[in-house]
Amino acid sequence: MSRRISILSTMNSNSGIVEAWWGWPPPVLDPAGPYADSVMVLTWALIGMGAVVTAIVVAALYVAIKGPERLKTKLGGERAVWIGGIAFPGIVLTGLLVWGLTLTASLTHDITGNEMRVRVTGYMWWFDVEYLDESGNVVMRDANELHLPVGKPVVIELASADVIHSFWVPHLSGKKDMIPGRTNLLRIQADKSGRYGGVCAEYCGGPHALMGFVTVAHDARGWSAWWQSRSSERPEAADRHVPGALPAVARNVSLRADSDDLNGRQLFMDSGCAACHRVAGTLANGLAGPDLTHVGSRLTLGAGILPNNRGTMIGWIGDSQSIKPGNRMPSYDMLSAKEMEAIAIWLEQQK
Amino acid sequence: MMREVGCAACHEIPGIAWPEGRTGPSLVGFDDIGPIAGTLPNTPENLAFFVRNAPLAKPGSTMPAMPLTEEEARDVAAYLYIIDDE
Repeated sequence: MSRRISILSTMNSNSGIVEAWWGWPPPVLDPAGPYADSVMVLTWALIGMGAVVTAIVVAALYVAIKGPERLKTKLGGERAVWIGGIAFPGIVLTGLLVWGLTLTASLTHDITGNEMRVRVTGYMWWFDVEYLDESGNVVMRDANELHLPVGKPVVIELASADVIHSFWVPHLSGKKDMIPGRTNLLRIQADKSGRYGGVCAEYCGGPHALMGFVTVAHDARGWSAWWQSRSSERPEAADRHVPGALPAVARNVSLRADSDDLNGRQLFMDSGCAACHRVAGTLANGLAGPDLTHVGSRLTLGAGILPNNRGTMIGWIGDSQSIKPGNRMPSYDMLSAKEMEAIAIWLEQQK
Repeated sequence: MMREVGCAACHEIPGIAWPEGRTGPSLVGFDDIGPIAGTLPNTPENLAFFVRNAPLAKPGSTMPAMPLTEEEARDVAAYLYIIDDE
């Protein structure tokens, strides 16, 4: 069994990173919104023009080497230089430039200020996501996941907390850098509901290649349901059973030995988790790591790299350094199995 | 299947280059390394049961019941037994 397998091919296909890089057609050529669409049309036009010009050059080369004497003389004449060397490229490139700028004009249209706004801040090596109201106040915080309503332009305020990162959802737009000390604005829009992977597209050190996120575009109904679920008061949920059909042998997820006696919430506070992670409605208010207020409903863990279930959560808590080497969370291998499980169960309930 | 549920977040698994988690034991050469989790006879049937019901099969185990159907669990077990990973 060869161990030389690309990392992408061994990641689960639902992770944000794989969704951003892989798929057929390739995500960059599979636009799901107007801003990515115009870029794709321009891309194909340039590829097409490039193919035509290459064909002409190859044909001319053939004539120059093997063609009849009469054509050779013509090709070597001054007229051919004026036409093929100056007039043709001049007209074609000017035309392409004007057409390309017109086509992509929407990318630089003024931002009206009426668009929904989300501030996405790059951290080494994850994304902080803050939904803003009209006056710029944060109404909800999340991490490594961006939810959008279909058909509406959304302005992303791109910021960075440390080094230069770059925000890229290939299905929805081009890349734009996240630069410390300034805010770049990027307008994106999804016209089809679905999940679109995103990545950091600027090398930012260490596990840069494992810094991704998931964009979820909701139709009108899905959007209001999602927003409702996020805005409503969050009661401490009862233990959640992992979904899955369980015929013959019932998978007994509630059977967890002595974990019942352990209070995951208390362990989260006492083990130091709360120093870096915030969970709204609790004393946990750390800002160095991703906000975990809604971690139970997230699609991925570790910034778009792992599926989210109890097993991966325990694995992340127990030894995140083996999963994402160099990330800023230490491996909590000093916790017992039951303690890790209790924390994972409590986090699952944070939706 | 193992990628979809993320087994490798805790286990080193032959054929999966990343991640190689260390919270759980390495599964390289799994079919040749003694009882499952140190307790169950090492058979594919037991393994298929174990991955869906680890806390029941071995109380106190760090491993939770993984969200797999019975068929998926059998596939996972078959993979670990069939793969040639000296």
